[in-house]
Amino acid sequence: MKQSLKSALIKKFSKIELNESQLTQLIDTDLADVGRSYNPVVKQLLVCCSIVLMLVFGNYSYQSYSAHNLLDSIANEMVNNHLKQKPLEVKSDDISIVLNYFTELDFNPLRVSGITGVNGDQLLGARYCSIKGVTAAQFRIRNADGTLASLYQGVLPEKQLNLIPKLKSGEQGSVHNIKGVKVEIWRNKGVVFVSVASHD
Amino acid sequence: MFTKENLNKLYRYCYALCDDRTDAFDLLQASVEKCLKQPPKDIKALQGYAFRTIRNTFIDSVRSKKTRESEEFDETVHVALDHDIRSLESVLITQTELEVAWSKLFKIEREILFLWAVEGYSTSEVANLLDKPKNSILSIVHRMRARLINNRDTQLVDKKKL
Repeated sequence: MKQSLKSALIKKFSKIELNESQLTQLIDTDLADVGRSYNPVVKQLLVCCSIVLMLVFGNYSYQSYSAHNLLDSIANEMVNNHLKQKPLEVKSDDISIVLNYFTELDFNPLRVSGITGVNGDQLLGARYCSIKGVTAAQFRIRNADGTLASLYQGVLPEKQLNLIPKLKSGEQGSVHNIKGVKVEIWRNKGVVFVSVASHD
Repeated sequence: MFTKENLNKLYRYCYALCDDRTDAFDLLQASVEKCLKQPPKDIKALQGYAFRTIRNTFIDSVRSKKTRESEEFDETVHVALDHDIRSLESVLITQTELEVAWSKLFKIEREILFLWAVEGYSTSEVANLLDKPKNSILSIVHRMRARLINNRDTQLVDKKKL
């Protein structure tokens, strides 16, 4: 029976179908590949996330490395300074007199518990010193147990200052043990504090 | 990614190219693997993408075999014709005549017939998929139509002789 070419072709192709075995084989290939192949958009997202993670982690690692180096360097410098026990430039246990002595600093030294004698410690006096080449104040204290301790206060350029741990109440600063003395470094109100004392 | 319906549709296209069920399945399998390894950016364009992949895979295999038909497949005739692919709609044929004629068609002719009749492609869409000028497609359609009619009439004469 004559029919249009189109109808004849549609009829011919309607008989062309994959059998069950062929379909299973192809669907298995498809499913097996889904596990290892991602949509291109997902691929691009994964690449972007990897780059961001690398940058963040790289930056974090670099900052950690820089902070570690800076704190180590400050701790060593302050321990050497403390051990030299250079003569005090102002001798007094009156915190007001000692603080008034510092007229050449670029910051105001803070009245903190370490130098106000609230813990039974005795302020002996103070002198100018430097932290990383920047003029700073050194306070010398005799602890209740008779040992000598130093508390340094100074400021640093912002980039370095930001690497110093900022303490919340109850937290401890960065602690270092160098040449038999304990060093603790922290910052508060934009001022760097370094406490150097013999071990308990 | 592919549904049963998708796969059957692609298989029919493979069959139009290969004119052999086994070869068609091999071509489909190779093309599906290629599509899965490098899926389209827009999943909605999957069918067009799969058709192109099938066609490229087929051309590669034909080229590697270096058969005479591969030259025919690449044939392009730049003749502007007034014919449209719809001119094929006026051809009347029996199922048996089609089967006989089908085996005598070139690959590109089978492909055009499949895309036009089964997939409902226009001349422009066929030209776009086959990456050929529209005039080349029309030229092929024109000659194919003449051959189909001639072949049908020859079969009719042969039948009468018998």
